[in-house]
Amino acid sequence: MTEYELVVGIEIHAQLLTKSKLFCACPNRFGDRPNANTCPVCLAHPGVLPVVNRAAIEKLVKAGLALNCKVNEISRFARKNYFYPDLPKGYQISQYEMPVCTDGRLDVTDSDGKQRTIRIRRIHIEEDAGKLLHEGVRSGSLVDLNRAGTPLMEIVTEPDFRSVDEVYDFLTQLRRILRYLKVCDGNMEEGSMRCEPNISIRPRGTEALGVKVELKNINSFKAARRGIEYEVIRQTLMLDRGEKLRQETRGWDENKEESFLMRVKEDAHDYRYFPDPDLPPLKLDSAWIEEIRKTTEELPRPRKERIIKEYGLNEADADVLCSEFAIIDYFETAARKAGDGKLTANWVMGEVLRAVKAGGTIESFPVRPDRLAELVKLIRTGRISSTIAKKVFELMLTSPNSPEAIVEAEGLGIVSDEKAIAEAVALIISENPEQVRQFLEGKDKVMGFLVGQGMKKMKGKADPAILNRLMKEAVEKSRA
Amino acid sequence: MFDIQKIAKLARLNLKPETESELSTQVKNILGYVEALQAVDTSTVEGYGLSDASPHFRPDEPVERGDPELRVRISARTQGDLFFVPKVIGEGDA
Ligand SMILES: [Zn+2]
Repeated sequence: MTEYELVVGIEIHAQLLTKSKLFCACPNRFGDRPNANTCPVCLAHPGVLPVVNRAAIEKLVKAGLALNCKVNEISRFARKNYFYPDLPKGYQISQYEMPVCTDGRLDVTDSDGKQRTIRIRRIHIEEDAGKLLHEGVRSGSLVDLNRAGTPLMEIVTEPDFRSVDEVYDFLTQLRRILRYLKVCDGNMEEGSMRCEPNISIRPRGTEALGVKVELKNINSFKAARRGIEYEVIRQTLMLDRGEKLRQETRGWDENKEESFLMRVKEDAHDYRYFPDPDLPPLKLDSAWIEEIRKTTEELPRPRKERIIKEYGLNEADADVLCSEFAIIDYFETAARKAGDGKLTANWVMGEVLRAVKAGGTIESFPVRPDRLAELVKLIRTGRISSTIAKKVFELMLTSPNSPEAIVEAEGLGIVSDEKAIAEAVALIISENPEQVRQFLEGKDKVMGFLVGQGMKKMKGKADPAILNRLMKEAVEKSRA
Repeated sequence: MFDIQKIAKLARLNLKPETESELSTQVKNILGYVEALQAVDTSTVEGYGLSDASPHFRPDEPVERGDPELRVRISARTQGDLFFVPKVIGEGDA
């Protein structure tokens, strides 16, 4: 049987995080009353003209630079013509022959740790369409144009992927980069990042590309993986049976976990692209591009390398912290204030992320980084033990007070008063004659138990060094 | 050459067979005019808009549009704040 090789290229649509739409000042915002964010421009009334949103272009350029693209000083808008009720103008303003960005690349790692370069053919800007609703109507559709005219960028790769792991790594990295740059929130489930893979297979060792299938309706990372894997199997079985593959568009059915035919190539749309006469060519002067390059946020990879060095963290910890820009931002703000990277990292990865996971986001987490830093400082200076610190942290979740004030109010500070500790030690020794005897007979381990009992008696607040010393002294004394 | 029926389909026009040849001639004339324009030597002319020094951008400042009712009610048919359109099957998506 022939051994096949997978060949995949992907197209990604990403919604740009601007405040207003691409060609009009309507708010770029979701969840509003239907058609609340519309105006004559995005409703395509006669006589209106589009004006480009500067921030949308800036975000696109930012993404292009991060993906090592050439940013073209001149690009052009084009009309993509098709009729559908979600597109009031009868055409979508997009880019065709002259996109803003070309010739980029991103390195990916597959499951064996092998690195390969994926070439990015182009990144262009375009407007999104509106939304059709079908619920509760039988004879037609309802149209909400709040999304019509909001800015999208389309990223197109070359067919350079040879494994599903590479696609997965690419999408993960891309999402992270776009989130770090605040260009797109990268939410595939909600459709703010949509991915369409072109999938084909060919006998291993051959050069010619096989017949490709474009897969739509992918709305999670998992669906991307499953969808591609499914297509590889489907196409392999067909070729093995001697059947011919057709170039077609298929949809992914997440529930059935299978792809279904949407249309074959012969039915492909004829979009009759042409330059949009309403918009002059898009000219980006090199000074502006340079300015964007200089003010671009630190990217995930260099940022990870830096925090490993700066805070003395290991690779695994840095991976966890850098997985989201909101987490690494939180960590760095706290670590700088606390003056202890390692300890802060442990707290962020432990208590903070655990509490966030239980509900909410790190952005809205009630313990802001400066308060966490104060808590870490209290541990560092020996004012409270780490056990007590967890108790204080619990209280901070519902109290706006500083950890210092909480420690004060709850009487949680470390007790280093020797008299008070000595009293507790004396009690423990009188309550545990058997353990004291065992220790004196040479069972050193028992000391841990006795100190533990002492700490319990002191409600976790005893200075551990003093408690240790006094307990040892007292036990030794009882030998006599 | 072009296929007048295909163009009609793309434009969502229902073309009657008896008007086909007349329309074909008209479209051919229009295209002929464009072809005549294309024969002009423009090698010394800079592209449209390329000489314009500064691009015209809009700042990213959203403007609230208020009650959608005013904009929706001009439609032939509505349902609440939504436009109503007849059923469309099997076409569309970009
Ligand atoms: Zn608008």
